Amino acid sequence: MSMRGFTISRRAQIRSDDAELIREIAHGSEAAFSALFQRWSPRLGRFLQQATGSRESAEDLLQEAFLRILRAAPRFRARQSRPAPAASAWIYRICANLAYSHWRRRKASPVLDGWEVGALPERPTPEAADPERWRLRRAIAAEARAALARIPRNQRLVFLLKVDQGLTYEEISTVMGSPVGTAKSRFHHAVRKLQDLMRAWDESADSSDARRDDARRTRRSGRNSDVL
Amino acid sequence: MTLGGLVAAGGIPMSCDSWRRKIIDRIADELPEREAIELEQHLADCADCAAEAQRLERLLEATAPREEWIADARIEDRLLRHMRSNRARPSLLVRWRAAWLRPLPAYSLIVLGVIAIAGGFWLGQLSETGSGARRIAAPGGAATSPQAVSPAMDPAGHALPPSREADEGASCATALSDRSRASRHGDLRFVAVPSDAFGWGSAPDSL
Repeated sequence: MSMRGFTISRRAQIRSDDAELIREIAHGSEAAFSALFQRWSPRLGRFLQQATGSRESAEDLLQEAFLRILRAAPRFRARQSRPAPAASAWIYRICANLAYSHWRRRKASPVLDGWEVGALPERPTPEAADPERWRLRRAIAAEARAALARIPRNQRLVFLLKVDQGLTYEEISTVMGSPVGTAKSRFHHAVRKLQDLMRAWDESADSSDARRDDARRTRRSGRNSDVL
Repeated sequence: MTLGGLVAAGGIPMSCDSWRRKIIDRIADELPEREAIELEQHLADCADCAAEAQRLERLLEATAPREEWIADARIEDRLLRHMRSNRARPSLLVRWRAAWLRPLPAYSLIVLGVIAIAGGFWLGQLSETGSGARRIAAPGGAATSPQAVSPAMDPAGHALPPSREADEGASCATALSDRSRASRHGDLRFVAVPSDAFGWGSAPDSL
């Protein structure tokens, strides 16, 4: 039995002109700001929605994030001796700080009411051959979001940066200002905790897989007997 | 050869816990190619680890987002309006910085500061020199002061009549003062001195 081949794809595209856009924003260029917004708002919005659990909170934090980018752009320009990847780390750090602030304000109620499942659409897509599997995955996604709110903040942040944004351990360590080994161990701990919290779903998914495999074997054996 | 390679070659046995950490790194796309191959070889032999790998894949696949997030256009509009309003009137801090942190005003401030410090030091030196000269002149000046004598008091607190000595001392002081003034001006003149200014008694009329 081998792995199915799923890997977390790298979605963060580090572009060297991000730093150039920020420098132009520091000079007051609206075109540069619009370009940066168009490029970063989808991924930052999704990250903030994963972090907060609601679209409304995500939009508020997204607006606050870009306000901070506007105000801090002149200071970024003063430190432009750093290589290009610092621009994305700088932007992610702003969003990470906003996520931390949001979690601190809601520390008494980490599980949010009406947690929106942003991972899967309401109805299975035509490409999904197995509706039952699709519904099960959607349920697991909802449960995973709720479980995510119950793990420590540092691990939660690393998990989101890794799974949602596709950053490498090294990029995550730059964003959080910690060693690469710390980022790696936090991700491992986050995955283990999520697994423990979702043990029941794992078992039901296992049994669902087992039923599906049995059904497949039965169909195959039926065809073979027909042939014989 | 990596640790996993040694294990695969039948050398050091690695625990399933170690392999599961590699499974996580494999799903996170952080495992080097060689170790990924060793992991696949282990998963082919270990049913527990293979099942664990499937569970982890399912979990992370379920949490990975699929929908594109589209921001509300009004957010960008609000931010651009904010940018325009800030550009029209920079903040007080920005204006202060622009005015005072440019080279010319900053250097002027530094120069003025240096001048102030040097001037204060020089004035301090001057005042020390002046007070020394005054201290040297003080003894003579004090002796020639005609007002140095204060009236004496009896035990009951009544002022005693000025003594002859005090009068003569005062007049002597005045005479000395005149004389010193005369000598300063280079004009030696005999000043009339009372006959008994020094308490020697009056001169006999005849010897």
